[in-house]
Amino acid sequence: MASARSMPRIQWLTLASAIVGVTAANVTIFDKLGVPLALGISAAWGLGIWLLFVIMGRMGGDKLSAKSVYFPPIIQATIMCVALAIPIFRVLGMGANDPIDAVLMESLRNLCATSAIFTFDPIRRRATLFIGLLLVLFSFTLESSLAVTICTLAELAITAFWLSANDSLPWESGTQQVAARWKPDFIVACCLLVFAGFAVTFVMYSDKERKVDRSLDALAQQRERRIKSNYSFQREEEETVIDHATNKKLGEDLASDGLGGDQAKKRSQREQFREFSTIRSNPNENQDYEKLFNLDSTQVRHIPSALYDQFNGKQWLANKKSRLPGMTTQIADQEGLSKLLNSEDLDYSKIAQNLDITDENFLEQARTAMSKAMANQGAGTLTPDLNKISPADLQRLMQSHPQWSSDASLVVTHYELHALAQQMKSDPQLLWKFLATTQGNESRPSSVLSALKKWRESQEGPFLPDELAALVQQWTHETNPGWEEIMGVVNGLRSHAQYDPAATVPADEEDSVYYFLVESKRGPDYLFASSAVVLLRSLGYPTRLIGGYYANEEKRSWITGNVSIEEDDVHYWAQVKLDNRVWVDIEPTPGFDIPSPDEAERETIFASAWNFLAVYGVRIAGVLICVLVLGRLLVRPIRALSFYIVWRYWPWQTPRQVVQKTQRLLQERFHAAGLSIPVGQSFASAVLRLDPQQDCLKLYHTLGQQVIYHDQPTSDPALRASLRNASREVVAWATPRRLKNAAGVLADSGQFLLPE
Amino acid sequence: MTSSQDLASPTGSTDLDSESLLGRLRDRLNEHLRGKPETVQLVLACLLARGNLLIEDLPGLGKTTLAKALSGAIGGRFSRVQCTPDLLPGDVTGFNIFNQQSAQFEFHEGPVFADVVLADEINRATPRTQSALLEAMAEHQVTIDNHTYRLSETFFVIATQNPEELHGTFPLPEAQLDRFSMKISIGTPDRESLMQLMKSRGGVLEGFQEAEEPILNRTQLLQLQQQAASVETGEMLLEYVADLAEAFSANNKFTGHVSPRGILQWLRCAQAWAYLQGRPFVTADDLQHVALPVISARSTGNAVQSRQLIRDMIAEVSVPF
Repeated sequence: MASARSMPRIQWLTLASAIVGVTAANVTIFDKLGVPLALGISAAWGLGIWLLFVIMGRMGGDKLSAKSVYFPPIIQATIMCVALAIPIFRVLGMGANDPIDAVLMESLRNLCATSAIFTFDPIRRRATLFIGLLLVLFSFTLESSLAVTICTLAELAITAFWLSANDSLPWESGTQQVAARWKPDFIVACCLLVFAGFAVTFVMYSDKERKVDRSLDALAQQRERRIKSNYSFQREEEETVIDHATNKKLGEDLASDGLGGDQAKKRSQREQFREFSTIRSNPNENQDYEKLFNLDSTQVRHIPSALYDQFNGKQWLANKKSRLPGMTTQIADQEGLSKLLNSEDLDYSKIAQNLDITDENFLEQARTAMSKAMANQGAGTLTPDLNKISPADLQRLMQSHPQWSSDASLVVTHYELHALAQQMKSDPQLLWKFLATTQGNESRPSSVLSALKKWRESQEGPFLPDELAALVQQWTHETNPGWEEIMGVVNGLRSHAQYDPAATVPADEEDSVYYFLVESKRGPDYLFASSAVVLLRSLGYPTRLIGGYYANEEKRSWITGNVSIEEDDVHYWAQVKLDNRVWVDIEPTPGFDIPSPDEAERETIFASAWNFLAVYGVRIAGVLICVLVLGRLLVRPIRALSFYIVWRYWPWQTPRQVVQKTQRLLQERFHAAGLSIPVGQSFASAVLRLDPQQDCLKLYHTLGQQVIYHDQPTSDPALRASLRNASREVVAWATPRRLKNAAGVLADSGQFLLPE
Repeated sequence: MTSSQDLASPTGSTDLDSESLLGRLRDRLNEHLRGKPETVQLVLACLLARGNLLIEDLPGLGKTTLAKALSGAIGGRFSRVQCTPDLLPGDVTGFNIFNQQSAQFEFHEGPVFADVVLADEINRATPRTQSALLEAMAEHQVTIDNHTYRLSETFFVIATQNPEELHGTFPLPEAQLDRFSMKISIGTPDRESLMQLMKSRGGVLEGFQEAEEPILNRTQLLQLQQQAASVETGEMLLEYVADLAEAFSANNKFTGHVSPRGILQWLRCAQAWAYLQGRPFVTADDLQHVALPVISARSTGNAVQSRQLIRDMIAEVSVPF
């Protein structure tokens, strides 16, 4: 520690900066290993850097000053280039497929570390400091975890500390304090570095639509790919089942002769998609559920993660830990109907020729067609990679990508379909009307859905069994239509039935909602959600069933602040469309938090600050740095300007004040000319000598002497006016260039000294 | 650097043409000491400030010439003490001798009973003899056998000395150094002055120059000194001087001691300097002009180093104008 004591502050600051930067980089690079391990690795790196630096300092001599650069610059540069290139060579040599940004990050980290270890002169150490800063900022853009944010703040503190401590301490030992001053080229270089970093950031995230998160980009691409390749979740699921069944055999195949190229590609593609699917594969024996993703927000609980067609009753494999039963009868019905009939099977010409509209079979087909149209156009929900999406962003996304969230509103329940079928039996025209419709969502007037909607609007009252109608009446009899009524139903459901994940609906039960609400009054979350959908639709509110994940607060990590979402966090709830515009989550299942703004407000001083940091942190950091640097650069000019203005235009100045301020202005002019005038040099010996024949200088000299050294109060306005004029002329005369030239002439003749 | 005419004339009394007197005095001295107008100006300032002058330089550069020229120009009684190691105090101050005829002790005045005393090569005298001059220089009086004798009103000591590095010298004690107002050195003349000097002494034997008329009489000198002492020292200037005094006492590299008496002498010399410029008030420039001779008279140690140090210290104290 003896050498440490003699170390100037710049060394400490750059060491700290480098260690913090390396830590942030490691947290990003070793993301897969988890934060504690990454921090451990970073601690090892930091220790190594510090030790090596101290050893190098010892080797380089006692003085860690500018004069004893241990290695010549060319060797330093070589070492740093090697450190920079190691990750790239590693990638080239071993064929690893690390993403390029991770490789760059690694290079930058190595550069930072070596630069902290091997450089000793102040300029390069400052460069090290800025490399550390850049590294942290890049880490922050790539991953904004708690650790990286702490690193960013630490780095900011270091930079601010450095900027503020710059002048007061000489960087170098000895009397040479020249390096303590700012060098313009160095400032420009630093600013360029910072701006370049931000330019890169903004180029990478230029699209405003996708600025929410980089992962959304990936999602969009993936979705497009999925559409192109006709990727089917059902097929994937079948293959998954097969894979699991033949797991052992596949492994043997892999070991013996390897997989074919096509097969491997397909497999990797599938692996890629599986991450975002909601499929529950059977976990291996005695193994936990796979972690799907991290959620770092505290505001979102309900995460819709599935397309509507994933809830067609076949997606969900029974699995021993979840104990979720199969699909609800209601949805299974829809699936069954859609299976019965596809567009090829329905031959309209045939129907037109020999039509028997009283035929029960035909009625069945017609009903099915409508159901399928509804299913196709039904409420599609998002499947985002949900990391870092705030509710506001989610809504914005849904509005900006209409093809992702269909505007079709499902206002029709199966009770109503039943009633419609009954009406069709007695009223063939109604049937024709429906058969003449096309596909498309409700915004198209000719579509099935708009026809249904019209029909529904022309009917009186809800189509519900009497018991359910009574329940709805009981829950909503004193509420106003709108949100209050909706919440009446939701709260009624929450208090009416009991949450029991194990309760099932008997297989032969036709109406699961009726069975659940009237007979069993126990059931899993999707029964609550289905009931809410049915009851709210019967009241006329567009409602849809949503499947996804529920962020369980117990699974929040205290280190990263993220909630890890696992496979068994699957949850169902409902969304109701308000104001014909916004889908709002409602939570009918007791035991799960009702999504509400109050709740978001409640936990949020920290959380909102956190979200704010996550979104704007880099920008704030950049702006802070720019402000610090610019402030540093601008403080002096601004102060000088205001001083000048006061001196020039402020009328109530005593003659002595005028003279003193003029002296200060002249000193600043000298400073600007690069001359340092000792404070002990009087006007005569500092300025008048430069041009003894100049009339304005002589006049000002005489007047100034009289004002300063003559104690008789001179209230003579003429004297004051002439003094002000003379001082203005002197200041106008003393341009830095002129001062510099005159002083150069004097210095050449060796005269620029105090009088002998 | 004569100042503006609209300021009040420095000469208060009407019957004294101070400008021409000083001009003639300056010319006379410049005639004897060629090529050194700055030195001459300092000598005049010292004279007007009623301070004692110490001239330190190598032999043969004109120390004694300058001193003799000055005393010749001032008029009044001039005496000279050539200091040697065997010079006794009584040889300087005078002594009582028993007159057998009158059976009384009679006081024989020494060389200090004069208007201008030239103590040549003062650092060759023993410290005991040097200190005999102390009282005379400080208080313008000598005390011999319990009897105090007043000296002349315009008593003025010009001492010359060789640099202390030479052999056979006794460095002046600090107490005595403090009693000199200025210590100046003359330095070798430049080539042109040397040429003029050689030409002017062409046909004249050494020691046979004609005696010159004095320019000033005692009264005039007293009046000039009085006028110099009445030059205004403003509030801001005094504060500047106080700052300087603090700086000197705070600086621990400075070997020497600037006493309040030294500060007063400095101020007095600056007044005289301002008077010589024809300015009715003292400026910081005046102080700085006389700073080196005044302060270096109070510093011991290496002359070159201490001069540089004084210059640095003055450069660090901020000046009012």
